[in-house]
Amino acid sequence: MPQRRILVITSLIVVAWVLFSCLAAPSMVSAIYRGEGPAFLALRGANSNPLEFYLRKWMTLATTVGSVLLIVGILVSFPAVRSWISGPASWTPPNLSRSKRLVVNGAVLSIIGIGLLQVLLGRDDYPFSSYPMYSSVRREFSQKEMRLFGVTEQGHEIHLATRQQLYPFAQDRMKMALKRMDSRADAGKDILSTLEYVFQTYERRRVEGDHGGILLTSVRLYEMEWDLLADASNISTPRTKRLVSEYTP
Amino acid sequence: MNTTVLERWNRWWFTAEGPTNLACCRIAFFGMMLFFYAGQRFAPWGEAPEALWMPATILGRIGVGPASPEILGGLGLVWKIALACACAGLASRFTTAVSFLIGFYLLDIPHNFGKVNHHDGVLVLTMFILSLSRCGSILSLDQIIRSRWNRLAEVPPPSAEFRWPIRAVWVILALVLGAAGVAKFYQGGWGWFTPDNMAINLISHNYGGATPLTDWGLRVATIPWICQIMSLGGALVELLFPLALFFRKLRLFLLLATLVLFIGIRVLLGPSFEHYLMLYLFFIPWSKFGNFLLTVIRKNSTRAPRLPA
Repeated sequence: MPQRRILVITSLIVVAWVLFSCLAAPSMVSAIYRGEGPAFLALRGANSNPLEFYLRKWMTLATTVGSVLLIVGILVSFPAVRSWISGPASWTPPNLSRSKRLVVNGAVLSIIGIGLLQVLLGRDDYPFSSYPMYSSVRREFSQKEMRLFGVTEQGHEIHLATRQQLYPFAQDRMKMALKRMDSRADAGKDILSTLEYVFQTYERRRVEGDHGGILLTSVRLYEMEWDLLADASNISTPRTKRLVSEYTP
Repeated sequence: MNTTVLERWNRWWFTAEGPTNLACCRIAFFGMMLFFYAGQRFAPWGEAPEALWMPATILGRIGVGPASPEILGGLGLVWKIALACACAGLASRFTTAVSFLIGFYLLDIPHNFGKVNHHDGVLVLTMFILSLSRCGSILSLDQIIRSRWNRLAEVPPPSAEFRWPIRAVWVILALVLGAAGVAKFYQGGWGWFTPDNMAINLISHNYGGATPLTDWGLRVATIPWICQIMSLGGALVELLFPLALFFRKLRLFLLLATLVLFIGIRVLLGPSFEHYLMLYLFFIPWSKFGNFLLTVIRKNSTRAPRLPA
């Protein structure tokens, strides 16, 4: 027979969780969405997603947590389950003090707990993460991205894509940073200072012989869009090419 | 046998084990870290413009930013020395802790410039685990120094101290791959498993955004059933990887399957996951491997020395 006391405690916890989830949490999520919460709770993509998106995510999370609490509570109320989980252990770890075992258990449980929370919340709190690489669904055979080009003395444009050219940045990091910058209304000055930094670093390293690139006269940032073709034959002829900014010393 | 969950937990983490495996993992892991990061300079991150600073990590969000180029350069040097010492097992309790603390900071900084990448977080967690462990007990300069000073060069007896760190690294890799699998079902949904989604990914990575080793992705993208098998197979291998923690017979299969997955991603899409492969070192039964090698090398000798278990 399930133990009534545990069932009552479970019910109270679940009711408290439901009340918190429905009454208090939405206003907290709204406050965090408006940027009024602590910085470390800032919502990813708050610039581009509406508040309803995060409220929906919260309700999904709250329902999952509430269901798990309820199921665990009911299971634990059965004596057989309790003894299966934590009955008297006939085996104890040799050569390991109780305090050391406590430290180790604490460390590994923290890693597991934070790791699972990241998955549930879809967060990226380095060094933990929900590891969402490639998990978004792409339906359009098109590609839009920011690209940096250096302009040579002859007026030719060369794609700045290697780490040597963008040092210490890798291309994906630089592109993403510029894309995020460009989504802001007041980004012009920041983008220009970034292009200046790219140009100065490139030229300084070229003069010092750190890379074998040719002399540049300016750096341009374009937003380019392609229709993806199976043979990638249009790689050098994007459908659109918008000049976002240019730095000339 | 009627065993409780608590007892299973204790047995899984804390069954006594010889020190050789952990010591070999220490040497191989910190050696690989040194190999990967020896040529990397951290000072340039101190020169990046403020406009590019977009705090996204735990340290970044609590206000820990990049120090001056001089300090970052100095920290980078200290970190590399600490990695080398940890690899050699010199003052290993101290140098593994320094490797973790400075490494956490230095590896964290770039992720606050535009994009959080997912390749090296596991290395920080692994250094954390090793900093709590007695990984320098044998096959280390510490052991040699101890033996010179007090003539007690005894190999420590089997202990739980030499098992739990290895198991913890297994769990870290299982969390990473399991999470990646869950994300594809949870965030992508069934739409992720359509041939078009995989085809678009394969083609777009050949448009200069990434650097796949070959252009085979373009050919594969034209064959829908292969795209479907790749997306389903990849996600399933990731999702099922945590089973490798508990089922010995599945372990080798899942390790090889994820290895094929990583190689496939590198060849067809571009991104490399060699950092994750560094965690594979903790799955190698080093003492068995060492004994096998010793037996082969000295097969003519009747008294081949044996490494501790």
